[in-house]
Amino acid sequence: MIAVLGLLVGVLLGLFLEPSVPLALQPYLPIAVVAALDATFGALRALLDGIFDDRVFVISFVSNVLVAALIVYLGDQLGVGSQLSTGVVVVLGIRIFSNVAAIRRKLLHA
Amino acid sequence: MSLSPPDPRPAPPHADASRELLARLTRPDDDDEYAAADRGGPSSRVGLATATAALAVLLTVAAVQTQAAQPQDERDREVLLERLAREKTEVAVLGARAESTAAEVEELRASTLEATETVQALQAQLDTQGATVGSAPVRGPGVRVVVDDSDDGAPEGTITDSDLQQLVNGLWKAGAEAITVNGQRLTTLSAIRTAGQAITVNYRSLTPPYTVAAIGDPETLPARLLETAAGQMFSDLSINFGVQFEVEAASELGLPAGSRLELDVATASTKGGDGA
Amino acid sequence: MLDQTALQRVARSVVARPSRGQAVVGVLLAVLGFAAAVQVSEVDSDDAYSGTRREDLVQLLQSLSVAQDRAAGRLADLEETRDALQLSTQQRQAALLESQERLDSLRLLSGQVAAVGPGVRITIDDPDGTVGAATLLNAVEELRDSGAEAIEVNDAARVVAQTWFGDGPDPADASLVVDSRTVSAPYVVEVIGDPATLAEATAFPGGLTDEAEALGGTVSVVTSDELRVESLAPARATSFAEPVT
Repeated sequence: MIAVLGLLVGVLLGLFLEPSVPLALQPYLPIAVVAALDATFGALRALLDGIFDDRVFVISFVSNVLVAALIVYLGDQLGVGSQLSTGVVVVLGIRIFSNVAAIRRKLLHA
Repeated sequence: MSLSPPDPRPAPPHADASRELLARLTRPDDDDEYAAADRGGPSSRVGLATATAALAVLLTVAAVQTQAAQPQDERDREVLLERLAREKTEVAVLGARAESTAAEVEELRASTLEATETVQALQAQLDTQGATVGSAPVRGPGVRVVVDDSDDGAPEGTITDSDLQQLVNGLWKAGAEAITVNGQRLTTLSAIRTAGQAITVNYRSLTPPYTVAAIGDPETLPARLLETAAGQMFSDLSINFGVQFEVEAASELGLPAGSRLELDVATASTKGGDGA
Repeated sequence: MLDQTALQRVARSVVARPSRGQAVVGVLLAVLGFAAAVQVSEVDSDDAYSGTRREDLVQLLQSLSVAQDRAAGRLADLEETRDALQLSTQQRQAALLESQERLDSLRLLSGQVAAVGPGVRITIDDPDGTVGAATLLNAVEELRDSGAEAIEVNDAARVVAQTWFGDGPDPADASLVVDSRTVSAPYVVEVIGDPATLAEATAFPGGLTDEAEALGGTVSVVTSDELRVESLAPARATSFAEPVT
């Protein structure tokens, strides 16, 4: 319950406050959001499997975001920022897909 | 129970490697952690805290550095964006100009095509008019009349400008279409006169014998000429005074263009052909 | 069809009492929601390049620069072609104008159009019917020699190169034939040219006036600043003469 409320509050705050993203962070924000989404879907799947642990969720959430951002940041320094950014988004996207598929299987079959 | 069940169908051997890669990529690694936590594995609070602290330090350093560079970065970016916008408008402007110029070129090409027809039509008219007026050289069959003073030099045997005028008049009446006298083409402005002792045509002095070439029907021209007053006059002169008078049909005569064709004071009137 | 166990778990978590775990999850999801909302607004804003990396911008600039060079080159080629075409069009129009003027004057010379200009009106009276074609022929040649540019007789017969003169059908009548057309005395010859020179052409000794008076006729000459020669010569087909192009 709190989880859903938290999500809603976050979205509303984001929409109403309309903060301007600092220039340096602009390329990393979408990466961070997708990485966080990946961790969230993983948590959702774990919940449906009955093995959800909040500690694991926190670690996976934070580490996903940081690692993804770190990889892309490294890429920027090396001059392959766009490519690595694309690669990271692709991999995260595939994982989100497979988590959602697993969730669907869990909901519709035994 | 949290891992995806193994694929029951046997996989083709060469697909194994790529399948494994895809499987590794798509398998969420959270799975292992959740499974481990569920089995009651140890959770290291200290490790977690240290890792978080280290990350926090790293992040803070990176943030500070980026913050310091921000004004310059912003300026750079603004410059880039400005140039980008400018280039875009320039390309758009060039494109628009190219389009309108291409349209102009098309129009010009089309009008050139039209004009070529007009030029040809005009040229055809010029040629047609030129034949009658005398501005264009012409060729065709006709008759050649040669007249010369009598051998004895007597005044009655000397050909005058009136005689030539009559001869030319007779040829026109007999159906000549174009006439030259000793190579001088007769136009509307041509005059046969005398200057001193010589006969002049187009202000050019001529000396006998006088060859009058006329293009027309070679079969009827000679006979009709002889029927005219001029023809009869010359026949008389020839018989009585020894004036030479030869008329022979010619199959191919080439007559040059006339030299007197300029109008000084006359201009075309816009009113029609009724008497004023 | 829906798995009861899974749904139960979800339902249980939703109605569960707030615990520390739940709070943490709530916070993280709030952060996620916040970040997602901000990112969506960023993308939605007017700046089309909001998330683009500097290196991508530079590359974009380079490719735009290449495109601009190409566009400039194409424009230059097109303008060159257009200028060349304009020049040739102007030249051709000038040539056309010249040809048209030439045609107009040729048509005037051939008697296909009426003419106007200064000149003289010569009236030849022939009470005895003694003025013949030879006199008129002579007169025409003298007038041409003096710059006659257009001549007509009795407002009816236009005199051009091919015009021939003959004596009238009936010797008793004072008439002449011009190009198969009979004209009767008095013969009014209108001539366009320089009035003084033309008048002199009739007056000099042995000229038209002398000749006509010797035959018993009279000649009067009137100069004019504007004379209209409006009769047209019959159209002549050239069946045997072919222009040499």
